[in-house]
Amino acid sequence: MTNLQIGFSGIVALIVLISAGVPLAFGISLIGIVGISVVMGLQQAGVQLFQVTFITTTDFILTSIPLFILMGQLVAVGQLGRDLYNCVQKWMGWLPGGLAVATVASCAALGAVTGISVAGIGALGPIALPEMRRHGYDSKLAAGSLASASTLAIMIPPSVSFIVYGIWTETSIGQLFIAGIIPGIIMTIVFCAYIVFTSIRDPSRAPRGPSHSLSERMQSVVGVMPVAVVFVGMIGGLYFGWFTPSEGAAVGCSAIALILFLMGRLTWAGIVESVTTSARISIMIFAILIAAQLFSRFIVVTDVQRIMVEHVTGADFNRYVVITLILALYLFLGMILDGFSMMLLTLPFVFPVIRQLGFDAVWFGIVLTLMVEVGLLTPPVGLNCYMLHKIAPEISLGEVFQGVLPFVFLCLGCAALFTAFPEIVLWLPRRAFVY
Amino acid sequence: MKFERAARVIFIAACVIALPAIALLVTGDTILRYFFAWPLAWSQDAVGVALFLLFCAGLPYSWYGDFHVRMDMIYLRLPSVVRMAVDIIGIVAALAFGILLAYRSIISVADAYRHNSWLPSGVIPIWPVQAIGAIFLILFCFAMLDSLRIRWQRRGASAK
Repeated sequence: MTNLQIGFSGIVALIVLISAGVPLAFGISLIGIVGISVVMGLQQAGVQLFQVTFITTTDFILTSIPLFILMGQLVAVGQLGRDLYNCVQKWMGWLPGGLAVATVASCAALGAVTGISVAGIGALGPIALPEMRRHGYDSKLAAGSLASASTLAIMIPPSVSFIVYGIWTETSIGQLFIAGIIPGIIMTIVFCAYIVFTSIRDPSRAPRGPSHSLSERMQSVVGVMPVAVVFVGMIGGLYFGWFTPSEGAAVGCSAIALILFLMGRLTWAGIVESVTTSARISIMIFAILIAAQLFSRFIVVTDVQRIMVEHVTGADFNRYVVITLILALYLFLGMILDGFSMMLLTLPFVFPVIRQLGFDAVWFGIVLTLMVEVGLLTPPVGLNCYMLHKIAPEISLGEVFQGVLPFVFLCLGCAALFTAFPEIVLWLPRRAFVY
Repeated sequence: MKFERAARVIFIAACVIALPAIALLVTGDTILRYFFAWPLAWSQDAVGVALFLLFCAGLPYSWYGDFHVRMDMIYLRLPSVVRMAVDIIGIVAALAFGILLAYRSIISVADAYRHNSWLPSGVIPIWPVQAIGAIFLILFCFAMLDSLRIRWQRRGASAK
């Protein structure tokens, strides 16, 4: 059996194991261990596994993953999401579909201090959903707007998705963070515009909310100041090169903890809940990251990666046809895999193709993250939809999936827009960094 | 059950100690660096150590706590016997990961001790860090064997 045949057999075995439901991290690592053992011996497989584990878990830049997640968890347990929603709702509630618009804007703002999408549903779901239902909102629109808007958290920096992509592809995480700002804002505006348009067309789906006086609005701003200050400080620090993403994450975490302490909202139970949830998610990500790196090494030593990349780039396809096919592949994979696994398993094959075709690594990171967002919404896996159904069981899963469908099309429209006009993504990082 | 409880205690203790320590240490280092031009040379190494130990300490409970994602679209529709077989493959895969990693860790501890290896800052020796990591990884292997035992007992109970 040649190395190439071993490589392809490994890929087939991996698909079988993952499809059957073996936990991703261990299924991937098993193929990596067995594959490297067959090609280079068990001793070498052990050396590779230990190296990958030790290097990954002691990498300073990876500290930003648990810290950004922790920051989001602190914001959630400290009820800062409630203050944020209260403020945005006072300013935007009067719009057609105002409460849904406020939910989208609050999720976007919350995304500015958390790196994962489910934090938005957890923090805002128990507040925004009852409010929208009380005002007679259509449950599909209410559920769709919340589930979809919470995905904005991984587009708006800080984003764990950008960190994982940046580490895997050796792309600057700072550039990715800055590049995510404009697409994140555009998507927020597109989501809000859709809700307003739908509400104007059929006011019974989302009636206008109450209007508030200027003094009430100004008072509500006080509640969001902590989140605003932390976000501006963190992103400003990255933009001006004052600190690295890991330092930004740590400073942001400490600042949020200090603010909650001063507000009297930092309890021991809250701290324990925040740190255990952050560690649980981080360990899951780290395990997949380690397994995927091992698998990637196996793919490289068997030469499968080179052959596949040569085949794709050697064929005389227009590069936009290739990128469309790649995005279609991600749309499909997003339906069956979680975002991190999808990213880590495909990048060894896809990223060299992207670079060979002359696409920008930062731009692709943004578009890939957008496809991860879509994967969080599409059935049958659609993690955000399940999360939302969990906290609001009175809204059926079918209604949630129907509710997110227009937002999925809006996301795909944004992906097409960013592909046609990459400057939308690259303009800001090019101003901040010379590259 | 006792083993699961012990793994949970280790996980929570590691989280409560390591994560706040990492956040405070990096914040302190950042402030000292930018405001006082006095960075802590060992802070990045210490953070790396804390992260490594957090990962290793969290692994034993990760299986019991169902931390690891799986693609359950087909899994949930499988007959119970096949699902059990998939679970056992998963446990064996995790066991292979744990055993190989623990074995290499023990060898690395011996190597690091013999060669007197230190982390880049020269303040933290590597072998004690890897030794503690190896202990947690051995615990992870026991956790997987315990899971295998529980699965096997359930299989016996369902056969009766």
